[in-house]
Amino acid sequence: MSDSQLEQVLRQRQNSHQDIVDVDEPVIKLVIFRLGEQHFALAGESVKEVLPGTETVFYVPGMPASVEGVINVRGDIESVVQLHALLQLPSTVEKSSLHLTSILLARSKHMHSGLRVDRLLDVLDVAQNQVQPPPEALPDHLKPYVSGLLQFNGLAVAVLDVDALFNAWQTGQA
Amino acid sequence: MSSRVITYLPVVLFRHQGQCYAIEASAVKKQGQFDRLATEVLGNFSELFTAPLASAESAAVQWLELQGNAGQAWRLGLSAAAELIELPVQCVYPLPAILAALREMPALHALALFQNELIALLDAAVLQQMLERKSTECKKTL
Repeated sequence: MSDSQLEQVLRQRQNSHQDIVDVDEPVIKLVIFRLGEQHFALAGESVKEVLPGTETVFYVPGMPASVEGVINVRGDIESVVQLHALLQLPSTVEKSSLHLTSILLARSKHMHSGLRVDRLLDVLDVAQNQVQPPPEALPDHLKPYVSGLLQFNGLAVAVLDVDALFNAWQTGQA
Repeated sequence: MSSRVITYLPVVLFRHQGQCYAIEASAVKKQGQFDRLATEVLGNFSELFTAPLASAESAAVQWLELQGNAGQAWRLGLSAAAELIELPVQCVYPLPAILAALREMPALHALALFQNELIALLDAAVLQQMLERKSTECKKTL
């Protein structure tokens, strides 16, 4: 005999209660975004601001292709770089789809920059224990930059370590 | 000794392949029309981007005489006319740290956003070193 709709509803309700974050659990804010076909997150504390992808970027000569240029943020300038090359992802940012992209103003202890992401998906609080250590099977080129893995709406989201990203750029690994 | 507040930075501005570059005017001694037979230059600015003797559009039409590292002057060939302008200091920005780390042109020293255009501010001393290195490499290959 199949479940009645009521039983299905009750089961759904029970599951949804299980999803509720226990207030005693430490929570972290994550900024979740898409790069190509993959999903990534940065800790909310490392993202100062999110700007629309249509911001005017001034090209800076004499830079590698991963550097888009600089933007004017309220009278100051901020660099804009693409994460694609560092994470060995194909660059998919085209002029026609710029309106879908976002620029995350990210900062580490010693550096800051705008990071172009293909699409901002969500900003949410998650229980810290929902972020699992990165799996052994993670591709080698991602290992230095991924600090954890999160399941979000059925998607595997790699949590990036912003210090490791900036450090790679600073030391010329990217 | 009194310290004067600087409000404008005089620079010599020139264009190359659609981009704006500038050198602090205090480093520039003279400028003149390039004469292929009579003008001796340490190098053309375009050589920093392309192989020497490249296309006609990168051929020098002007020169700037700059104060050299060891005291003697040197000349830089430009493929477009240069002009003296004054940049308001609030338009001038240090190179963001990540760009300083990633720059492929060591002479790139600072940036300016002026009249809705980006100006790459170059360090003349480093530019001289780059052209000297380029010139030495060319001599070795010949």
